[in-house]
Amino acid sequence: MPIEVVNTRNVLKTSFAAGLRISSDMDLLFLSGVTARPLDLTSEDPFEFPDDLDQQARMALDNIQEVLDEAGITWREVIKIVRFYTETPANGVRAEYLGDWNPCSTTLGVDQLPDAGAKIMYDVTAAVPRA
Amino acid sequence: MQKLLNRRDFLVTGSTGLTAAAGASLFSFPLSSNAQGNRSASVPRGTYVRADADMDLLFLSGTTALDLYHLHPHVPYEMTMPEDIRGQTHMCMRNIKEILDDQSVTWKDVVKVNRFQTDLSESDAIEEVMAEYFDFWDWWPAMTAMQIRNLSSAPARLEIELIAVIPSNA
Repeated sequence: MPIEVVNTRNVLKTSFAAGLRISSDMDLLFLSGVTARPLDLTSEDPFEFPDDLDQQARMALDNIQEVLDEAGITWREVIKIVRFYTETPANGVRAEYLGDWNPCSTTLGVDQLPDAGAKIMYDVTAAVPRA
Repeated sequence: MQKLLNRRDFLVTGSTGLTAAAGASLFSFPLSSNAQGNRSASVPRGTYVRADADMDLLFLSGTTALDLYHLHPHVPYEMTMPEDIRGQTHMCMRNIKEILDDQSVTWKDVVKVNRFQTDLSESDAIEEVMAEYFDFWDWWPAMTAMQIRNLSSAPARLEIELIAVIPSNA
């Protein structure tokens, strides 16, 4: 199996994988930090971030979806998600996209994100099966 | 699978002598003053690690001193950990070791470590504890430390995430 979930104990399902083993025959896909800002806008283009954190999260995840589509992969190939937030997020929105797939995760509260008004940014790594 | 230690031992003994109390002689060496090991003289802290392309990669979630497996959303009764940064570091490293052991990977297979701390002035204490696991820095992975405002639970002061490599035939 190209992406193997490491579960060191027989425990109830958690909302993230303690570890994931990626076989060497897969390519890696690194994404830049993604916020709610639409991907076709530059950082100078005016953009009003919505106030609602969940809405920002959905917009950011939609952006990531676009990149995954472009790469021909799904959320199931996402192996690592680091969330940087200025306002504590809930896990619920993520599950709308990830379903029951739980990649490695790290969640970090920061003072500031590069985009004024952005409350959440995702740093995503995926593994792509070699064609 | 490795013998699981009782996490409560860490809570009652604090950082000094806790490893002996937990029956883990592996971690009980004093920090060596000769910690240079066989590091390259030109790159004394091994600021980069190059891994072969045919290695499998092992990605780990960020882990704090919380038990490796805990409920989400977090529940208060699981949010117990020592305030002491050395104790927290030991508990982080033990969480990581559980995963490395499961995959038969050693600390020398760790290529990248990210440390998220709520206070960078605790770095020395953290690295002293980490040294006990990394064979007194006989192996120094590529490592980044940064100070951030919040970790995933209020008492946590350190979160470590890392990437290890595994020979793909293993």
